[in-house]
Amino acid sequence: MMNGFGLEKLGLFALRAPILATIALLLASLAAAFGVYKLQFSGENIEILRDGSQELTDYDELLSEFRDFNNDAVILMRLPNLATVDGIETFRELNFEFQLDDRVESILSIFSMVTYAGPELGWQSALPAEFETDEQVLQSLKKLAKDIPSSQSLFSENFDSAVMVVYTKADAIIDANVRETMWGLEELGKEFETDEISISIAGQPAIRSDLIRSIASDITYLAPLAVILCAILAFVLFRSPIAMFLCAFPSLLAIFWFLGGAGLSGTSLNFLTNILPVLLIVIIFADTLHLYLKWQSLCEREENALKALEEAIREIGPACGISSLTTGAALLSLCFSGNNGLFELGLVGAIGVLGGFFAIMIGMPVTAYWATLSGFKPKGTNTHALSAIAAPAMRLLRWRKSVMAGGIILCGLGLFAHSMIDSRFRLIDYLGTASEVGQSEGYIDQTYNGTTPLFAVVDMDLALALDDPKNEQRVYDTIDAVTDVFPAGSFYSLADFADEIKKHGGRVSADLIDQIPRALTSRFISENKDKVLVTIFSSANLSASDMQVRLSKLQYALDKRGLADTVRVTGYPVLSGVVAPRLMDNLRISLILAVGLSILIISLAAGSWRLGLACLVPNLLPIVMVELILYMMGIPLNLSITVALTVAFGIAVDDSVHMLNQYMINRKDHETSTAVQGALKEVTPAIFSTTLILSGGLIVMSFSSLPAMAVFSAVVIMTLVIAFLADIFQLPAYLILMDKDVD
Amino acid sequence: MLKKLTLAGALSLAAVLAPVSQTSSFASPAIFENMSGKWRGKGLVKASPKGKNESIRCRMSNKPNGASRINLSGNCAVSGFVFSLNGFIQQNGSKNSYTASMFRSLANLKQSNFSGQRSGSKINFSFKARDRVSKQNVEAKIRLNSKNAKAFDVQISRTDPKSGKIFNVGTITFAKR
Repeated sequence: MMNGFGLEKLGLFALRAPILATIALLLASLAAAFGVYKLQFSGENIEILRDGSQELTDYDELLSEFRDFNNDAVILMRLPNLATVDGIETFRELNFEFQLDDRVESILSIFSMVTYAGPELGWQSALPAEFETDEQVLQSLKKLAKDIPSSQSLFSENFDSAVMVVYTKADAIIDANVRETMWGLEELGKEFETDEISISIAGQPAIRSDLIRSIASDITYLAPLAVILCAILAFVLFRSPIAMFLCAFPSLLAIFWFLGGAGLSGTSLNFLTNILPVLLIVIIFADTLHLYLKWQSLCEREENALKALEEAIREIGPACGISSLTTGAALLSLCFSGNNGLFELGLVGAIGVLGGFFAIMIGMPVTAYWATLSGFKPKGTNTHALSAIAAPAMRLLRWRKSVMAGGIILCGLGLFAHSMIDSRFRLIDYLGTASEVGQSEGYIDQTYNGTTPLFAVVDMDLALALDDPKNEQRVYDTIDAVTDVFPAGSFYSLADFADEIKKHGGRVSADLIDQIPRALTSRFISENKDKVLVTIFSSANLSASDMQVRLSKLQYALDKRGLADTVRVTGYPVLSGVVAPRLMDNLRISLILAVGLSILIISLAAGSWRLGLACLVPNLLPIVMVELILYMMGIPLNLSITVALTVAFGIAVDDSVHMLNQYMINRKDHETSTAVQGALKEVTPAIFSTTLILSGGLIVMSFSSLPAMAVFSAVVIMTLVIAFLADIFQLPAYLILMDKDVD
Repeated sequence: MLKKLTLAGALSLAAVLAPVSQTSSFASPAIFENMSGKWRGKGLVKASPKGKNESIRCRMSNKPNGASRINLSGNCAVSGFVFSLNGFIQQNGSKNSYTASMFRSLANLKQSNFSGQRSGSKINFSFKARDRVSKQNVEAKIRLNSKNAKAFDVQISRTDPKSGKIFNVGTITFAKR
């Protein structure tokens, strides 16, 4: 039997002092109920990426010296024809409606475009104050596109849509307010909707609002539904409502405690940590089933159900403790990634797993105790028939070297895929498939150049005047470099204004800029005039490799012009195209390290490095095989999948630990081969049942409105199946090989 | 741009004063009672005699504060600019005399208080102030014309700093929301 480091004593204590344990459960649950009431959700996605890198420093500087571009919502109006009096006047009214809303600070649209009419008349709207004929509208829009090329990013070429950038007030879009704000803005838009006109909102605030809605919906409905489905499957297997309850209770309790703990500690659940409830279901349901099946098995020999339960806790408790330790270690390994989001995921996840272990070790014995007092005793069911599944695995042991070779080849292929697979971080992957925000983002990416700008920040020489030819040339050189990579009309800068003034023989000056409200100038120049922005309309939804190619081209174009030291490229697309993939790479490296760490823990628990090493390939296989499948299907990794692999590893280890534990129990009285076969016969029904029940239960997560959650559950299910196969076909072969010298 | 700011300052003044006209033919408590509520304004304005017309929209929400005072809040938008209309209007001892202060957020004008006289269904306001940007004394005239219980017009004219002559800035039509 494995060394559980005494963790199983918790279960024995609960069984010996059931009233005290019940009170402790009730008190913990009462506190959790209070915490659940206070639970908050967060749509934050930049803090999650924060890793102390130069990219984040540049981005922070951009936001502090210019403005917080993450407050920009993009309003998309789709209509039959903007180039008509009706069309453009409706859009004008929509502009005013948003402009005058209390939650809005400023607007950027075709109606805020200005042309310079000379020193006497100054700046004037580029578009007329009113239109009389459709032809006048058409000509005005064409003239606007010609005079101010950047205006082409504000209405579509065929006039069937127009966008405006709405800069929302900071306090209107904090996590607690963003949903209400977006709802309010949607309502404003609805006043203009007809059969032919639709108004939708995209951009960061809308994405954050949708993220929060989706996270809340998944945690509130889907996670408990998954537990209930697992419980129903357990009922089908055990044909007993009490057995079903005993198996499902610790999972439900763990989720409840987890959510309550998050609420009490003020930890808002974000799009990363919202996968933790599923992880808890998987780990806890599996361990509870192992414990229950062992209890059931022991009850066949032992008349006293409570004694059998005590024995089951002694035998299975250490394995449950080790699997919690290895999963906790895997999660804690994320804390060393140097990344905020992963640190939180690792820490919160490890605490959740610890809580889950308590839920199993206290929840299961306590409920089983009360059930036994009311006359319940687990009875043998058709789970025995499942032992037959182990037969092919036992037969294959004859060709164990071939089986091992096959495993190693597959592992090699998987590791190749691990190194080759592309990654992508798209926020819209975390929005529902039916999300209007996601659809609008897709439309804007396709029709315009995206909602998420990329910025070239140009350092000005402060020793010179703003309009000094040297400073001016630096800005124009930057624009030339941008033009090498991005189409004309997809960017704007202070140069647009300077060009307008030059038409009338004037020059841009600091005084002239100061006369314009900061809400507008903050899009072009820093407050102390030492930096100028070239804003490039871009998308945050490209694959990492596509974005990296664009950024490399832009950097090359800047370097070619000697601007490497004076211009920095930043913006959310840099974070999603460079920082997020690096985060995923770190996550995968952490995972491989976690495999090593877990093997070490297993070695210590088993008291044998050979037995620990025997678990290496069977535990690597589920991870790298899933990566191989994704690679072959052309599906890039995203954060959810990468995190799912961590979950997957937890599952793989869980099954291995139980198999190894049983093997070590058998090994006391039998030689290696017989002990392995005995372990296969004993444990296969349990791990097959857990795989079946958890896969069935997790199928419900595939119906999540979040594509990322659906992919996540598909990855977990795939891993469950592969982990099961690896544990019954691969692990026994390794055990015989690695432990044979002991014979 | 500079001219737009000046223009918007004058327009905001007009917008703030606008509700007075609707109720100006009534006694003070009735005036402020009628002025309460939400208003929408719409019109065309220009910054200089030769300037181009610009569209303007205003939103106001007014709450009476006692019998002789009403607090105003809201904004006007011209092109890319938004200006606050927050302030108050107070009836003085004489029932035809009013004082108002709502320009503190409009940095363009140094003077923050102005007065007006009612005549029938119209109130004529005029004020002289120093334009912060042009540093010149400017004069604005605002005529509030109550058309019926739910709508009124605001006609604005002001001094052109260059010629020193008064020119017609524009008209804003208000309607109750």
